[in-house]
Formats: sequence, structure tokens, C-alpha cells
Amino acid sequence: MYIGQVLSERQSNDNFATDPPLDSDNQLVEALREGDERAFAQLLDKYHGSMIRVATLYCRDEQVAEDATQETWLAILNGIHQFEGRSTLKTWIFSILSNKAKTRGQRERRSVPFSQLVDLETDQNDPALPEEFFNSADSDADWIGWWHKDNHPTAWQNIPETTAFISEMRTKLETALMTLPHMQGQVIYFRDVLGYESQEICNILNLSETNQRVLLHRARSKVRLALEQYFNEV
Amino acid sequence: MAELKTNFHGTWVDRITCKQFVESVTDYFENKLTAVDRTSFEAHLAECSGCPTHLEQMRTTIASLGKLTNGLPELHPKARKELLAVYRKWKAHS
Repeated sequence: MYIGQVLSERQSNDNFATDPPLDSDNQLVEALREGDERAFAQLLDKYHGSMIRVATLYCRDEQVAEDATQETWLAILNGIHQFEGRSTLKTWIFSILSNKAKTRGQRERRSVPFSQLVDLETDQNDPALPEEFFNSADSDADWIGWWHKDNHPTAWQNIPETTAFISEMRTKLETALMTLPHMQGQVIYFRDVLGYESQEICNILNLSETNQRVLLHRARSKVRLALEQYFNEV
Repeated sequence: MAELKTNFHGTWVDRITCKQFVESVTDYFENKLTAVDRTSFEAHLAECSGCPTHLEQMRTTIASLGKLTNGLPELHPKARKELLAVYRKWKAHS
């Protein structure tokens, strides 16, 4: 490739940013099919970053996640002529990603199959908070199931607004997300980080609404607990 | 043993424990509690000294997670260029 070619390409890349975006799924899909590079660039800029994060939550390895994301883009191009618009483009993209990440993740980790993950992570015997947070008959028979005095919630006070603190808290949150069980991590990422609707998440991850909510609740409870431990140390 | 009913705005409702409250927070946020369960949830909130704090912290947790989108990994210019090249190749073959 000639230098001139590289430069002109870079210029044309930069111009994408100033073009008005293609708004609807229909416009984007049509443009992609017709070979409009601007449409592809727009999708890359919009979704690539969150796709990497979602894939990392599943694969636990950035390189594997990158590979799964690359594979997803190829699958999108190969499937775009068959895309019928039954789901939104976003849902379609992330379902493909989810499948690629599952396949990749399982190949690399030789771990439990996806179908069992959901069962494991929605198991009844996994309370949002550990049992010792609440009174048992041994600790206070009059108030069984109410807060144990040692674990009574106390307000998180004096949360500093400094840049250093904010970046530290970000790191804590990201670590907490990465230590969540796989499905819980993905559900909370879609719902609370990316702000997707529950129904979209059910479609992407092929979950029932109830399981989606159970996974979300457990994930939120664990992240809250991680923040609590952090605030207690500050 | 704690009473099974509690008076809330002049009505006797089922009294729930903190443990049950904690398990219902997401259902409450997502509007998935039945009217009866929602009343018990709110009655508990009114009489418990710890659960309002817990609920507030769940809100803070969700709000903090929502701010993580600011730091999404950017597509590296080299990777972007490679992917666009893939698209061009695809276009040429399709």
C-alpha cells in the first residue's frame, strides 16, 4: 500500500465523523448491504468498545475477547443479507457476539457448558447476601431474618469527589464485575452499564425474564457488597 | 418472634424480614412485585432502620455502574483500519 493511499484513507476515515449519522436500523442495514463504508465505521465506533467488554466478561481474557469480537464482525457481514429485522440490529449484533464468546470461552477454558451456567447461577441456594448478615435463631430468636447487629448497614459517607477517588472507584467496580459469575456479569453489564432493556437482554442471552432478573439481582448485590467493603476501608 | 403483621397507613399487612427485603430490591426497582408484596416492602422500609440505607446503596451502586460507559475501550486506529479493510474486501466479493 502506498503512503498516499494510506493518507487518503485516513482522511476519508476522519470524514466519517463529520457526516450525519445513519439513524435507523433500516438505514444502517441498507447502507451496509450496499457497501457504504460509513455505515460500517459507524457501527464499529458505536459498538466495538462495549462488545470487547461484554466478551471479556465471558472469556476472562482480553485477547480471546478481541478475537471473539473480530469474528463477530465477520459474522455480521456474512449474515447482513439475511438479517430480517425481527430483532433490533443491536440485539442481533450482541447475540452473535454472545455466541462467539461462548464458543471461544469454552474452547479456551474447557469449562461448564452455557446451559449449565444459567442453572448454576440461578440456583436457589445463593442468597443475595451471606446468611451471617441476618439474625438466626442462635443470634436473636426474636428477630430472625433481620439485620445482625454486626452487619447492620451504615451509610456510605464522605464519598470524595476527587479525580483520584473516582478512578479508584472505577477500578473497584470493574474488578467487581470481572469476579462475578459469567452470566451475572453479562446481565448486569447490559442492564446497568449499557442501560439495555430487560427484554433486549433476554433476547441477546437467550434467558427467561425471571432468570434474567435473578441474575441481575445477585450481581447487583455482589457489586454493592464490594463497594461496601471498599468504603469501609476508605 | 417478630409479629407476622404490621400496621401500614392503617392497614394490617404481612410483615417481611430484612432478608426478604434484601432479596426483593431488584423486583421492586423493576416493578415486578405484586401490589400486596409491594405494600409489605414499603411497610418494612418505614419501620426498619437498616433497610432504607441498603436500598439507597443499591441505587448508588446502579448509578455508579452507569458511569462506567465513559471509560469504554476505544477502537485502536490500527484495528479500525484493519476492520474497514475487511469490509472493503467483503464488499468486493459480495
